[in-house]
Amino acid sequence: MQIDWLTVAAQIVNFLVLVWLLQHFLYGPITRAMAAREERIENRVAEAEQAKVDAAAEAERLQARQRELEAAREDELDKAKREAEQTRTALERDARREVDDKREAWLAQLEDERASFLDELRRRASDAFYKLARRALVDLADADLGERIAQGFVRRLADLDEDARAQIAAAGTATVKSRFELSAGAKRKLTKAIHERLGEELAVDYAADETVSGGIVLHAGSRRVAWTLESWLDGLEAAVSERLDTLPDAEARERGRVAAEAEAEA
Amino acid sequence: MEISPDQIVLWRFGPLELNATILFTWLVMALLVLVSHLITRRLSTGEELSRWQNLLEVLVTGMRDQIRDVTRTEPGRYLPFIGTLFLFIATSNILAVVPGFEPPTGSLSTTTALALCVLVAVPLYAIAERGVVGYLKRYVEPTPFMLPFNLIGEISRTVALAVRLYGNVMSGTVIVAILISVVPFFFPIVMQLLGLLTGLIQAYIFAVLAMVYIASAARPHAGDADGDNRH
Repeated sequence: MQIDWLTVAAQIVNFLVLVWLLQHFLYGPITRAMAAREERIENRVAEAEQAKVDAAAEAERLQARQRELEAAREDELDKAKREAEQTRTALERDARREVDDKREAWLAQLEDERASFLDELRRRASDAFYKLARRALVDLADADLGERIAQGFVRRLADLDEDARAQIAAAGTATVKSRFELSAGAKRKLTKAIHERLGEELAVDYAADETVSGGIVLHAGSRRVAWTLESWLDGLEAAVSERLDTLPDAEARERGRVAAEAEAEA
Repeated sequence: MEISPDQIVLWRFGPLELNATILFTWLVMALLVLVSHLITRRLSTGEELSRWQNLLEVLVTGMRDQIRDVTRTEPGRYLPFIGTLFLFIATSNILAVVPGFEPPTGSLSTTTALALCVLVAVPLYAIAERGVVGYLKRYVEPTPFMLPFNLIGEISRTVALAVRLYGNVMSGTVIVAILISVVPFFFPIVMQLLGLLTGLIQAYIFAVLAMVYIASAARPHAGDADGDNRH
């Protein structure tokens, strides 16, 4: 149980030196290394957190952008649909109108053709009939057709009532029109008949008029007395018209074709 | 039979003599510093670290945790002192199993020196923490009449610290020496293994008690944990 105070002093010094040496070689470096590692790990964790936050923000941004794009796409789609619908409607309308126009034009043309055909037919028929009747009358009755017509006209004059006769007489001048120039005999007979029926003082002029179909027309003032082939021709025309109207097959076929074209265009 | 390594004088120069205690102390110091230097020469701050660095980090971290548990403050400034106490005593005691090695801690001179260091360190740390007045006030609490008793307590626990360590280590080697002469086989080895355990425990106790003394002095409210009668 002895204490060597020299040794105690030496041990104290030794211990303090050891403290300093270990602080220098052990605690300091190790503590620093651990602190550095902790800091590094903390930094990396912080970086990771930041990266996570960034990624979340980026994802949010991308999602928003995607939503925007989808909304825009929907809008575009709706717009395109509407435009397509409008265009389709307009095209359809145009096509229908065009077809209607074509059909109407076609119908009008058809009507014109029919009308001109009828006119032509009437004119030719009237001519042909006149010639035929004239030939027949000349051959059969041995008389000029003009005279026969004049006789018919005279009969018509005779049928006039008193008022008409008075009005014609009051006119003073009567114009007799016929399609062809009347023969002198016919004119004489007609003048005589007019004078007998309507009065001696009535002046009678004669004129040839292309518009008058076969027959004789007397104009005096506002009165008109006529015996023409007109009535017969009217009858013929009515018959021809009726015949044309009862030929609906061609027209119906044409209508069907036009409708089919319109549908095809639409 | 040698009781203290102080008595083994290896070299004498006038009044100075180099005894086994100082020699083996230097040996332990050289070992500790060399190993520390070799390991801390290339320290890694990354995730990959050598197993030796890992060992030292476990040691240092363990000591820091112990100090933090006792003082409930950051261990930074206490670590060199307390850690060196523990490492020096533990290394000395463990090396006692090496034949021919006389643990310096088996010398009352060494343990006295360490206890004196603690005796001085307590007021130093306390003053650094609380100032001179704050430290001195501790001796007259709860009443000035307690001053003598506080002084006596301060000295007695230092003595206890020194004698406890010396007694344990010395007795360990002495017991082994006696047992070898009585029962030469097997049993001394078991006792030496037991000595390893008690040596580590003594190192831990010495360091923790020193820390407790320092902490109780440095703490603002002196809840003096006088736990020095455990051995």
